[in-house]
Amino acid sequence: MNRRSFFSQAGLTAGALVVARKGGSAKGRGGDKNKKPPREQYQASLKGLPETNRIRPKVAAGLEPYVPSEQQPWDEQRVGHLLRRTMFGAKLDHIKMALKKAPGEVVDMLLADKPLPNPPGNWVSENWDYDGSSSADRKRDAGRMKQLRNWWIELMLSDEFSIREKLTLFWHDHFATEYLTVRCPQWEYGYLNTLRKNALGNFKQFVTDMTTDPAMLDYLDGRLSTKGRPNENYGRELQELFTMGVGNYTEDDIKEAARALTGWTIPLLVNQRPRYVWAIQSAFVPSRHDDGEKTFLGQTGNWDYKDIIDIIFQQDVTAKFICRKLYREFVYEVADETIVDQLAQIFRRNNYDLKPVLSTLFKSAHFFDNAMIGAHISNPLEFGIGNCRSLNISNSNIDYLFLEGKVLGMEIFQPPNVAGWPAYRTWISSSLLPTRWAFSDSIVNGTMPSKYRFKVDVLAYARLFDDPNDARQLVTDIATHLINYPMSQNQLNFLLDALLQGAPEYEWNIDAPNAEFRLRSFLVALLRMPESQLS
Amino acid sequence: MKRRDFITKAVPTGVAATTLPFLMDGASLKAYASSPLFAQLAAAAQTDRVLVVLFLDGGNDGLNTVIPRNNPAYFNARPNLGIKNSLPINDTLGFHPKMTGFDTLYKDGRIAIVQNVGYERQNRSHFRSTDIWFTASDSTEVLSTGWLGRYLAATHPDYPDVFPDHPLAIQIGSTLSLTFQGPKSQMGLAITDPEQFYNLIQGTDISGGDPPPDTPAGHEVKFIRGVALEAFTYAGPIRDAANNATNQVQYPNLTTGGNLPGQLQIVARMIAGGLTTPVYMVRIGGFDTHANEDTRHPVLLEAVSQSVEAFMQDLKALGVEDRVLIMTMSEFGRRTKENGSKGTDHGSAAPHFLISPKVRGGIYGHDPDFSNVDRSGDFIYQYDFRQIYASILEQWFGVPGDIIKQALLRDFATIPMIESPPVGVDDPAFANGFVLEQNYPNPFNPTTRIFFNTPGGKVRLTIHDESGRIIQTLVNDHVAPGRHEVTFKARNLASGTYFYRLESNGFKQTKAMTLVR
Repeated sequence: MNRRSFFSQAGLTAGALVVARKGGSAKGRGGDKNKKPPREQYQASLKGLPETNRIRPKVAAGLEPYVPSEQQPWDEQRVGHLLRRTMFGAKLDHIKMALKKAPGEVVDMLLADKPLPNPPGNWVSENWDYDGSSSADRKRDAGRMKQLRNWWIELMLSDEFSIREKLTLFWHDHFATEYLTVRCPQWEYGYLNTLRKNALGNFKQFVTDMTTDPAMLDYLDGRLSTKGRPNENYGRELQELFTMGVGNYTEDDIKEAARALTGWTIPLLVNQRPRYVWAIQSAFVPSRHDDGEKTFLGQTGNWDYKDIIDIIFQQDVTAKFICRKLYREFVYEVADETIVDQLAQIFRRNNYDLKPVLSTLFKSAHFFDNAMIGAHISNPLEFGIGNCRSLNISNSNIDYLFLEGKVLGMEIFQPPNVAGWPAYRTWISSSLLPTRWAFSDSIVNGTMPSKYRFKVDVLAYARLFDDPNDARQLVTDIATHLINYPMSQNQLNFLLDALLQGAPEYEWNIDAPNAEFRLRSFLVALLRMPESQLS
Repeated sequence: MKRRDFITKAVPTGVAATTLPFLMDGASLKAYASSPLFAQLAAAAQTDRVLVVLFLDGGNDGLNTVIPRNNPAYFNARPNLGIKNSLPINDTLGFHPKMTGFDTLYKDGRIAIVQNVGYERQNRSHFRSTDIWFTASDSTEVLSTGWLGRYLAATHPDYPDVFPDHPLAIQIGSTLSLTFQGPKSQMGLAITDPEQFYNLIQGTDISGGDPPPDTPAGHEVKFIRGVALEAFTYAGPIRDAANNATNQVQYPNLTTGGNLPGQLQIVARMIAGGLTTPVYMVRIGGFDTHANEDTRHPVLLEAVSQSVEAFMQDLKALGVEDRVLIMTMSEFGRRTKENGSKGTDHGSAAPHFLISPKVRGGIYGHDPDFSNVDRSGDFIYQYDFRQIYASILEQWFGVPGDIIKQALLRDFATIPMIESPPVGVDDPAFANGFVLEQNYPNPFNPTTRIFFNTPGGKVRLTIHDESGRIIQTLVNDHVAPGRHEVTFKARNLASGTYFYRLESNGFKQTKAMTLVR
């Protein structure tokens, strides 16, 4: 393997080859405003996968709590399933700790509230003072942006036993903004805070906060939208992507919502072209607001943004839209609509609090069913950061992990467009899969460029298992830890060969001089298996 | 008679530059498809000719691309964004001033501009409308396979059980779009760079092992193994092709929206280097110009125009220009009226381009009609985008009608914009004594006579308007062998081009006539 390939790929992707808009993540429906197509059409359209190729898991289990049993024991694999889906990777000490607790207790720990982290710098509360002609200002902002994204990668990497960073990433994908459009690091920090603060909170409040969030006001042009000259960008995506989904509103609803949303902007404090100073909080300017009568989703009145959100949350479809998205992210791509309906009822009954929905889902027999284990295609950060965490790498390079996400199609703060990442099978292509191999090789062998260099301490990692001197046992234990998929005897034999490389099994000893080299070869082979892309 | 001649005959010459739905739809070729010779020749033609799909992602503002430069309604709708110094195409239209490359290509007869391309019930969601274009679905239906995926699957039914020597489709980028999704599997592969692709594959051992279980996870493993196998199979041929050719011209350094020149450079090398892949896709993003379109849109158009011009020059120098056709696509045009942020919101129909030495250069369709707009004030489509697809399949790839139907699922009137592939085959219809003659008088008002010859049997003679709709059925009956005459009286019809079509026993032919009131 050419170890530079991964990196040259990085350079190329940076400028040239952006992930195509979509392998078809249509959220759903045709343009007929009056006729509601059957629900099945949602499913058929998901990620552009033909119906014949999609498997609908036959899972009898519903949302009743999972109770460990002989057939579905609370073992390493099932604990790993919960941890991998809710965090990045599954650390061995976390697995051991969780095994000693009841499943429900572990879920409660993952969903617990905790204080917000300290910001990445004092600059986050400064007004944005930007001179377009000043390369120093551009450099300063590029530096701050790097600080911000590294701060977040670090939180994903080091966060202890909590779903929060995983959910924050999920919401970043949901309420997508792009740094290259927004440009102001302070706004992007504020936006990330809005995501993290609301990640486990109340979804209606979340939408309200996002509607007046400076980054979003900038990204979808709300700050430019005024009485008499409304800009429809946010009004459309609020309905299409953030709350209800396509097909549940008309083009007129978009126009009327755009009118109601006018008035929110970001104060420009100093306007001395080319130097501008922008506030970091948004403000409502009554003179910019269209206070006329609007008819939105059949209701007429002098609506403002809160009224629009109220009306959206009166629609049953909103809860279903969000619960379906949560299901597809955390359980399986093909949503079970019965479960989605039940989750939506819980969501509405709890006035759109997210925690009861997530808690019910993660504690359910449905979530823990055998059919769901290993069925999720890991996104690039789950793959990259997850493997670093699982392999107990303590000195990973944050820049490199950011770059890994970027090269593999998931650059944080820079999703491909407002719909976020198409995800699922679009994470794997004839171009991206070999690039994933190059990455996993590099963290095992340290073959990245020297300024990013780190690698797994394979001996220390192997010694975490019960009997590292039993080659067959070690191969099975590591495969069980890193791969959430039932490995066949053939595959285990292949991996054993990769470890022993022709030596007889009895000669294996973790203290032998060549043990480290052999362990690395074995890990390279293991992480290149198709099964390693799943979690 | 050669098929090429047949097609030339079927199209009245001299009117090619006007609107002309080519009603000789797929079914007419169906008869020949049964001939093994034809199938062979069609297959040969497919491997020779290349389609490059150029995706203008985000909804290109067609009105500021092909500009109705003298229309006051345009400047009323665009007080800030209206372009005054366009490059004249004809008396009424002009290219955006940054599109000097397109201007040159157009003057060389290498661009067919299709006006007012859209579809019934325009959907204004980026994501939904992109899917509609990718899948060639109606606005109200959701399909999960792409039109090119279906086309390639129809012509390669064994894929992916049997891999052809070269990929069936290549998208330059890291993921493959829905366009290439076939009923059984994806029909192409995504690569960023041939050399890197090759290097990434080296030294890998794909241990497949056992058949995956019938579980969701097993299903995903099967998918990933398939991708791995495809990467292995094609890494070598792709790199070899790219190394076989060297770009002959300097491409512009315009990387806005995703380095389109870099993508086209790779495509040129792969085509000239001997890859037989018939379909490529490249993409440039950033067309969602809700705000500050005055600064954002021109750089994108410049990138498209200059890159395509360089690409065409490169192909010419490499000796493969006649084999390549570029087709643009974009999910929608933009609102005719600008918004308050110096931008435009999501609109409807827009012009699109077919670019090749082999196109019949010119403008197809009428100028944007500000007097005939929808509730949002946007243009009513004149051509369904799938008419372009059908035309390409029919005229560029020369594929049989049943394959076109498999790809597009419905029949669409085609537009004679492309010189057909040099496929030689005897024309059984002509041999059997079918002739549809030019009407007389022509132009006419309001009465004209239509003559045809038939060996006898069931005959259907119909009159169609510009969009292909049947206006009147003149004959639908069994007739005796010999020459027949039918009189057509145009009642309540406006001046313009109309078409008459003869169908009989597998034979179909269409001719144009002009009504002048």
